[in-house]
Amino acid sequence: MNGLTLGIETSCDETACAVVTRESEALSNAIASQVELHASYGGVVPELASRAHLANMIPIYEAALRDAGVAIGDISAIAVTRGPGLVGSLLVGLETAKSLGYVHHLPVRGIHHVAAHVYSPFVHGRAAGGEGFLPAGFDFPYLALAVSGGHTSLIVAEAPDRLRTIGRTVDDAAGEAYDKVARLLGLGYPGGPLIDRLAAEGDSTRYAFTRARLKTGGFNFSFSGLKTAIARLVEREGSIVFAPERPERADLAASFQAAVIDSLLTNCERALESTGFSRLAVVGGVACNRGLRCAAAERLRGVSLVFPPPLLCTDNAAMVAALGAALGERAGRVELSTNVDTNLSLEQGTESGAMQRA
Amino acid sequence: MKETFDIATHSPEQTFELGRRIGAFLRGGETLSLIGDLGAGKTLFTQGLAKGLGAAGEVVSPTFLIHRIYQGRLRLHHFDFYRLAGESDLESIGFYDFQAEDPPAVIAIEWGDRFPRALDEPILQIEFHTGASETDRRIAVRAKGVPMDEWRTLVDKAGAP
Repeated sequence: MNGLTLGIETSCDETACAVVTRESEALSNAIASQVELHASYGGVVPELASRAHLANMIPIYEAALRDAGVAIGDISAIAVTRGPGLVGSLLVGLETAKSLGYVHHLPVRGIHHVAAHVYSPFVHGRAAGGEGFLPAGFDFPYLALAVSGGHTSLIVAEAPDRLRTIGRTVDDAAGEAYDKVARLLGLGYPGGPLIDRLAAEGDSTRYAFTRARLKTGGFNFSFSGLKTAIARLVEREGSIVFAPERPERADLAASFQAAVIDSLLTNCERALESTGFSRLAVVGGVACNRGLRCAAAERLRGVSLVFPPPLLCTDNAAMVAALGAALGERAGRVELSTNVDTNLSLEQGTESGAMQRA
Repeated sequence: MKETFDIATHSPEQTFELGRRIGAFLRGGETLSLIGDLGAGKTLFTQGLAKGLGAAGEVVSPTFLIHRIYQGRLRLHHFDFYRLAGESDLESIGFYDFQAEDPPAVIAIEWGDRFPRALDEPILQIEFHTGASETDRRIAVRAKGVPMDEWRTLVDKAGAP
């Protein structure tokens, strides 16, 4: 087989490797999740994450080749997440990519983590975790809502390497707000799926939370006020009111989730109107949220809407490999001296050649 | 001389403004240990602090990345210690290097009370307590490593909002 790209992703708490064809078909998509490792801390602990990446990296690399039924000799290029993310985590993936590239004489391409998420709708094949989710005719340009524990951005995607952020959170990311509210309710970690499940049983109109209206205009998001309002509510009513099995608990989860979803979708609607786009991709971990999927389908009628399957929403290497393959020479080349960039900006990270200069 | 003094703020804007005013008189090398529950105003205060330091760009929650850097008149390192498992984590996130940076930067740490021994003086410890109303905060300031009077004068000069 020719033109296969090996993808490596270790920006946060998933160690992932995948083999993807030039046409974005995932032949394998191996992921070692560390969720359980970090659960008792209520979030990713950097030192534990780097150590787990080190332990998982080679087995996951081997699994990605084995699952795809190929050998390293069949690979033409390596694509690796260079940022943003946790420094110790990113380093494991980048150094692995550099070493493999050096030993096997393969070009290594540096990929922006969020750019890979934006590209994730185009990944397909047996290892993608779902089929037929891409609406007919879905292509660039489109609007992307990237929502996860670390990011909440609205991005105009003109081409795989022409991305422009038009809105972002000014405080907490949406996924972070879920984690923090889950912490307030003593639900555990990660907060997203737990609140999503609980919200399905609750009355979302019981508690009214004001939606942040930002004076700065644009398409920015803010979730800090909502988190604070919930902290104060729990403090005022007493946490016993929101104990397990109490209906208030599910009602609060539902009301919180409704407020988050409303903020996200309102900005999407406004941005679609302003850009004139009719295509929207919702990507990143929070795109797994069932409440968000249902509400989007209901509110955004007439919009060509794509939610990739959950396996492509959470961190994975198939999207990294697919973007690397799509960009080819246009992706920034990783040299032995290239370093990770924890604060890599989207515009800087996708602009051709930016990485050589960095 | 009182060990601590309290400042009352009555709105998010006032908490931001307190941060801005404190940011305006910092000289570099100070550590601000920010203590308070979720939603108490730690990040908001730091947004004001960055503004006072003349940093461009938006200060967002440091929770996910643990550490973010902003450049103004002085450099600002914004840390969140909540998710660190132990003091040994400080080494791996480069905390000690940033603390020893030259020229000296300003270090603002959310949940700074988790590893109090690791912080270099002078330390301005700022504790956020929620008040009677949703937006009221009582902010208790305590200084370590410089005479409280000096801080007091500086904060007074900054003026309680």
